[in-house]
Amino acid sequence: MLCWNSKPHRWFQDLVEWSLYKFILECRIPYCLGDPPMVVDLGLVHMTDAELVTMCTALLQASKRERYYQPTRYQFMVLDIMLSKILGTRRNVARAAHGNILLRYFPPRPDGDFRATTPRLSDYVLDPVPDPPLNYATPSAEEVACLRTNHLGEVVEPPAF
Amino acid sequence: MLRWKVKPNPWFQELMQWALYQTILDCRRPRYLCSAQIHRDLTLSHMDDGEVDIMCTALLRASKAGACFRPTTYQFLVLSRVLDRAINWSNGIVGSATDSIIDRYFPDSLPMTDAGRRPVVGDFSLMLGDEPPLNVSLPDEERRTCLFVDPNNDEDDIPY
Repeated sequence: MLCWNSKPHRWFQDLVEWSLYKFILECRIPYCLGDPPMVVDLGLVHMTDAELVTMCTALLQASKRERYYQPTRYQFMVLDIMLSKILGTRRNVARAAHGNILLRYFPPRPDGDFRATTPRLSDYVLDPVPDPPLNYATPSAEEVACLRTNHLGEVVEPPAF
Repeated sequence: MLRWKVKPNPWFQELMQWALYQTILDCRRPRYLCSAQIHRDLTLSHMDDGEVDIMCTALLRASKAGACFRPTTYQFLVLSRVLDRAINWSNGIVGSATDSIIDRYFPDSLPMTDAGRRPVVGDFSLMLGDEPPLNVSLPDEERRTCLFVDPNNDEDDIPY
């Protein structure tokens, strides 16, 4: 598992792992479709799509293990960008969902923009660490608080389809 | 591999496998991200997302096998929808690309609607088939013709 601010609930792990799969697949878009590199779209100017695949694969493998692994600051930035992109295109989660998740699960954002720096070799691996603090929120309440709550703290319902 | 009308060139196999992966992954997305159901997106009114997942997984596995597997008529219909969905995500491809690929690779006179029926058990697996005829097109030329040339327009969308 990845070492977040607190022990992740299943709904959040599912979201992160699915998003990582999605990113890896989109980085491997067939050449014949001729789309611009994913890293350009994400503003990761010092990475290639292949490097992004390597990093996301390392994160995905670590996330699926029993032990906890500590992402680096660069890896947290990539996870942040990934969730922003995945949640930003969904009409059935609150607009504040990405921000809600950052507050709950991510360490404080460091000063400066890591996108403008080249990742180091250590940003492609993860080290095992002790367990993070317990998570006292119940899974369903946390899911609502993160995905269905707007910036005013009000619970919003997804649109009916 | 899948038994197409002619032997598939690598660009087409990559495209089809990637499109199948995308569809499978979208069928497995977390429930709270379900803005719309994939089978509706694919206009497959007689299937649910779980069935689309199972069928596409069978097609993907067969596509990656060394032997040749023949899709059923229903599976060809699903393949055409999966392909169209993937192509529509890409910006640089001409609108006629799916039709061009269907002309080249799909069986002739393939019904392009599900004819109002549910898939049968046999549509969730694949049978071994014979080798398709050789493909005499050059891969690059075929790729350009299928993806970047609109037959209704003399000019290519992307000059190569």
